[in-house]
Amino acid sequence: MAEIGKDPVPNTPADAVVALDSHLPIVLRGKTMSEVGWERPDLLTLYIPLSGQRADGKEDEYMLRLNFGYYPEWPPSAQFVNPQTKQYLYPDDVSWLPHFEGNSGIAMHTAYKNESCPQGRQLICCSMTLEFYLVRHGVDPRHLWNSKRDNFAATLNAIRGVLQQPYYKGRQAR
Amino acid sequence: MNDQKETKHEQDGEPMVEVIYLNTNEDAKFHTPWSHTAQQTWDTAYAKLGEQKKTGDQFETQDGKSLMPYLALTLSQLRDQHISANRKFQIKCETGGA
Repeated sequence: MAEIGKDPVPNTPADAVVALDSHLPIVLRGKTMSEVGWERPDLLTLYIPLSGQRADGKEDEYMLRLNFGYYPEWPPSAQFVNPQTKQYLYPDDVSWLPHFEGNSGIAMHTAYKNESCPQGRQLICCSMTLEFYLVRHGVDPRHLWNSKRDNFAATLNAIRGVLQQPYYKGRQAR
Repeated sequence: MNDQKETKHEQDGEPMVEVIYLNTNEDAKFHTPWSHTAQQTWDTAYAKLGEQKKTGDQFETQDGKSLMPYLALTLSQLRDQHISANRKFQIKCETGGA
């Protein structure tokens, strides 16, 4: 169970796969992976295409990678990646990250630095992502990931929400 | 057959509503009177979903429009005022971050 000030601990791969397998059909709501364009390159990773809806009606395409190595006690790792390389290299791949503003529950950092990650890392700063806990971000207890209640739909829907208006502003500038 | 049943329910004054809980993507589908408010529908959905209401939760249409200013409106008013014609809703929970 996620706790304030506690370092996330990886789950055993077998248990994490069981959790992901059980939650996947619920999150997909009756659709198949291929119908929604999702890929599962290994048992603990999903690639999920997402669209940012600009104010002028145009869309920008993104690729979100979720990794379930700590799941379900902790939320999935969530990282936007370059869709060609499936990696994120700062600063080359910054434009593959969305820019959104105005939602107090989630923010995007292209290279977040603090004592726990002095080298900097991409951070989707939201209590529904693993990285939020890895960097030991401050959190109100009521916002903690609750593995007895939440599944990775919470992660995905929090991110999808800020790819809509009025939050979404376009791609990150290099 | 199901469509016919649903039409009869609508004519009888108890249309189907669908509410998705965005922290899990679980949904609840239930019949409720046109005279019930958005607030009553929201409260019923928690019971059907087996979830507890938390501070900061928001009630929305499934295309993301907030229903928080309209909680006192009935389902028929939501329909007539073109706020929600299809009675498909979602519950969004607050997160911490920015």
